This record gives sequence, structure tokens and C-alpha cells, in this order.
Amino acid sequence: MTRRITIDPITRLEGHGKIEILLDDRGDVESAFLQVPELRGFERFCVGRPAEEMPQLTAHVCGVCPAAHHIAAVQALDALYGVAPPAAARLARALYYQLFIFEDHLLHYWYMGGPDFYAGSDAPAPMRNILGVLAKVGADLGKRILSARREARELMAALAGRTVHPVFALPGGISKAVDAATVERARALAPGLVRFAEDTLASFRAAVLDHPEYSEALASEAYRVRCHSMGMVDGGGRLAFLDGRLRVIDPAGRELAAFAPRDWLDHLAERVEPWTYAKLTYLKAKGWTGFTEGDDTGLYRVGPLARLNVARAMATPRAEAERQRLFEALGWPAHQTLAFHWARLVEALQAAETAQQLAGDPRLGDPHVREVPAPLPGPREGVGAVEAPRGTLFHHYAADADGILTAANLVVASQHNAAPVQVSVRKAAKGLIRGGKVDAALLNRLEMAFRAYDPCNACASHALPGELPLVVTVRGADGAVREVIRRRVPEDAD
Amino acid sequence: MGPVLILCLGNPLRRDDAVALHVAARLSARPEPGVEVRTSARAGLYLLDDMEGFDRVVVVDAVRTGAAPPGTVHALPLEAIHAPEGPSPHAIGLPSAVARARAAGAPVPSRIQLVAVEVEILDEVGEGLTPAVAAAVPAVESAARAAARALAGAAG
Repeated sequence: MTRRITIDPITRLEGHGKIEILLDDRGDVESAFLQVPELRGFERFCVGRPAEEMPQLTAHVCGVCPAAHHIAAVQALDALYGVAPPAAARLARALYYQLFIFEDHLLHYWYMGGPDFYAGSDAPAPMRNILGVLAKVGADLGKRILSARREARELMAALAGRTVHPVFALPGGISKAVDAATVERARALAPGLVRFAEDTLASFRAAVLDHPEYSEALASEAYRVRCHSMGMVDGGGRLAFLDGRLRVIDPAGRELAAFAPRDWLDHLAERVEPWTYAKLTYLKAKGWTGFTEGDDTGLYRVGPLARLNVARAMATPRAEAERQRLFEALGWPAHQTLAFHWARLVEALQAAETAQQLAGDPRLGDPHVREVPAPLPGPREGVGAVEAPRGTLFHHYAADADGILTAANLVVASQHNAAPVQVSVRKAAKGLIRGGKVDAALLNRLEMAFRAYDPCNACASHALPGELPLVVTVRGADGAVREVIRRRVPEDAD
Repeated sequence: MGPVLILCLGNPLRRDDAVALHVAARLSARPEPGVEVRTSARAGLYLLDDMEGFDRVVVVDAVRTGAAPPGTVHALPLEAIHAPEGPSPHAIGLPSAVARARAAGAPVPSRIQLVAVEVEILDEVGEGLTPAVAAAVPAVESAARAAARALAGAAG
């Protein structure tokens, strides 16, 4: 005897995925806002704690990318204490991080690439067809994802103590040298990871190039936002996931800014809007222009596609050949949000190739893995930045002379993308509401508009059921609620 | 038949969300034969990694349904949870994660039983359980042990 209860996700995740649509006197869309939940109070929680706790604390902010927070935090501490980690520590951190990018990107591609998920049931037919084809093409290859990810995760655990919430990065280095067995294992494993990433890309590309309708589907206006792109590059302008400078290009591809992470506040500004807890970021050079597209907008996007756009080349040869194929097909810079799947796979290949290079570096197993920082001479600040799977992540700390935090600011990928998401949502709403009449397809189209951004709710929402439900509220010009649309919880679909 | 896994989910920095971690500590203090206890603060698809290699799993977690007072213990099979497919892979729930992995040909547990405790505060950063939730910890522990024994004894 089982008592069946239905857990209504709307109440479980209060405020998650709320869209407010405001109509004007004529019943047309005045504006629309997507509200993504924000975990409140984290910065306040950090103030008064020793700065060196941050790599552990911040790894617990998010149930999705703790590795990115762990590494961004330790880079901020390196900067705060003004300490340069020895080569072996830099290599071990980088190897761990490349493995993380590799396995995270591939997990999402193989498990989430389904037609209904990314395109939605309301997507244009060509999009659904092409993704359906991909699912079939990849069936055999998909079986290898299990072993490839498992091998990568076991190696991550050997490097970092734990796979998920790593416990190895410390200001000035890491806590434990990489032993000879782990070095050997990394060298033996890496070529297979490169092969798997290449095979995945080849199967994807074949499916795309065999189906011209893919580009037709990509052109869907709901998925296109013409704004600036930001991503990290190395000294040669090649795509970097950690230890680089940030580069911004405009919608036509012209460089607008290039800066070191510590100077981020000279180029980016945060703005508070009354309808969301998330702070929206924009480019200082353009100013706050509201939710607009085009060459003059202050908005920029981050994430896989933005990173490929801003990089002059990939950092590794095989990935670079794939990047060129992508832009031959889509044009450069690419603004088709749906191309992020493809971009992700190109990045996964670079991560695998880089992991192979790092594993082969003779300094990886060197026992000297930490420069213990000297006490702070006085109050100081430190900034760390990495490219998390979904985009640029900044950690900015200020501490007093005792190393106690006086301020902490984390800027996550979803914040950079928060304003462009609003543009997409607004476009979808304007297209579907006329004279106060709400089209039945509204919910799906709105979802379609922000699905591809993969917005993060900035916390470990491992919730049961954990889905991000969507509630759409339509308000008239008088502010009164005209309509509330929510996704219905389906009955048993056995 | 391998051991049964009790997977306790929670984030130690999100107030009541840590309730299952307190339960894990008590479960580990008095081990059940044939039962392994693990904790995780991860979400959705990533939970599959924590379950890899187990055929029967008890998941202990905090929920806020609003339909019951804080401290209420719910015990139900995963299949009893109805979740709409969310718009973001970032917030994919366990039912969808299991379904997607199965569709992709990945081995997933054949039986997943949930023990969920109704909580009060989830979206504030901080440590410490609210009183009603703290008081429910022994009851959640008992429910988790009972669920694991039932799965261990169930015919495969």
C-alpha cells in the first residue's frame, strides 16, 4: 500500500522560473521579465570568515559546478595573498579543471541533447527532426560516455581528493603532490578521452551537415540575440578556461575590450532591478541601454558560443579544425543560441587535448606543490576568474590584515546572461500576445527562448522534484492580474 | 544483489537543506548490515554518478511542499513524484535524470525509494536547522533504515 502524493514543484521551489508580462492600454506587451531565483545572503555569510575557507565554502554554493567555484576561489586567494603557485600545482589544478570541463560538457550533450528538452515540443519541426537523428546516430557512441566519464572522474578524485567537492586547492598551490601512479594513469587515459571527444563531434557534425534543415532551424528568431560576446583567452588570444584575460567583441566581431580579471570593474558594471534579486551586468563602455540588441547595446553573452566567438583560435590543433568548421557553417560571430551544443563539443575536445598535454608535462609529479603565503601586509583585495561550463565566473574578495573577509562578490555565468535572456523572453512574448489575447503556445515559446541559456539558480537545488517550473503572470495596464499560466503537473504517464 | 545505498542529499550551508546530512551522520554511527551510506550536495543528472553500481537506492532529502507542517516525513517510491520537464538542464529533477539516463542506455537503479522531510527554510545561506526539522531527525533516520531493509528484503 503506497500513499501517492504529488509534490507540486511550484510550491517546492517558490519563485522559480517566474515570468511577469505587463500589457499596455491596447493589450500588447509593454514588457516581460523572467525572474530566476537567487540564493540570498551568501556574501553576508562569508564576511567575518577566514579567506582561506572560501574554496570549500563556495564549492557548496552550487550543486552543479563546485569545481569551477573551487578553482575560481583559490585563484582569488592567490591574488589576495600575492603568491604564485609552483609549476606542479598550476599543472595539477589545470588538469583537474580540464577533466571537469570535458566530463561536464559531454554529460550534457549525451543526456540532455534530446529533442524535447532543448527544442521543446513547440520547436520548429526541422529542429525536432535533427535532434531525433542525433539521438539515433549517437546510440553506439553513447555507451562509451559512461566509461569515458567514469575514467575522467576517477582521475579527478585522485588529483583532488574528491571528484565533486574538491579539497586540494590552497592559496599558493595544492595540498598534495600528484604521485607517480596518478601521473601514469593520466598519461594512459588522455588519448582515449581525445578520441571520444573527436568521435562525438564527428557524429554530431555528420548529422548536421547531412541535414540542411538544421541551419534553417538554427535561424529561429526566438533563439537569436545580437549582442556582444565575452570569454577568456590566453596570451596568444586562444580560448582558455583558466589563467587568462577576458576579451569582449561586438556583434560584428570587433574587439571592444580586453582586460585582466582584476580589472573587471573597469569594464563591467552590475545593476539592480526591482523585479529580481539577480544583479544584471552590462558593459561600461556602452552604458546601460536596457534590454536591447544590436551594435549599441550594453548587453553581452557568455558561455560556449561566446567563448568560441571571442577566441582567435582554439588552444589545441584538433579543436581548432573543428572551430573553423563550425564558423564555416554558421558564420562568425555566431548569434544562434542553439549552436551552443556544437560549441560545447568543440570545447570538450580542447579540454581533452589540453589534458593530454598537461599529463605529459614532466613537472606534473614534482613534489614542490605549494608556496605558503606570507601574512598580509594590510587590507587587500583579490580577484579570480575561470570559464565555468556556462560562462565566466568571477570571485572578488576583500580581506583585512588578519586575512578575515570584509567583502565577497561572486559573479556567476547566469548573471552575465541575465539581461540577454530578458531580450529573448520579451521577443517571444511580444510575438504571441496581441490585443490582450494570449496564444496557447505562449508557455512553450517562452521556455524555448531561455532554455538554451541553461540558467542557473545559483544554489544546490538538488530538489525533489527539482525541475524549474514556469509560472507566467500576465498583468494589464492597471497592474491587475489578467491571467496566470503554469505548467500542469502531468497525471501518471505509465 | 549488492548492498543497498542510502544517499543523503543536502547542502550544509542552506539551513534546513542540511537535514539529510544530520541523518547520514546518525546512520553511519550505527551501520546497517548490507547498507552503504553516502552524502551528496549535487543536483539532477549528477546524482546518477553517486548511485552508479547500485541497484537499490534510498534517497533522503529535504522538501518544501507547503502541504504539510515542517518535520513531516514523507516516504514514497520515486515513481510517485510527478515533475514537469523543466526548462533548464541545470534544474533537472531526479525523476527526469533517471529517465534520461535510462533512455541513453546508462545503467540506473531499478528501485529508488524516497524519504523526504518537510522543511521550512531552504533559500537562505546559513547553518542550523529550524526546531521542528531538527526534532524530526530521529524519525527520518528510522524511516530511512526501514526503507533500506525493505529494499534489501525485496525480491529482485
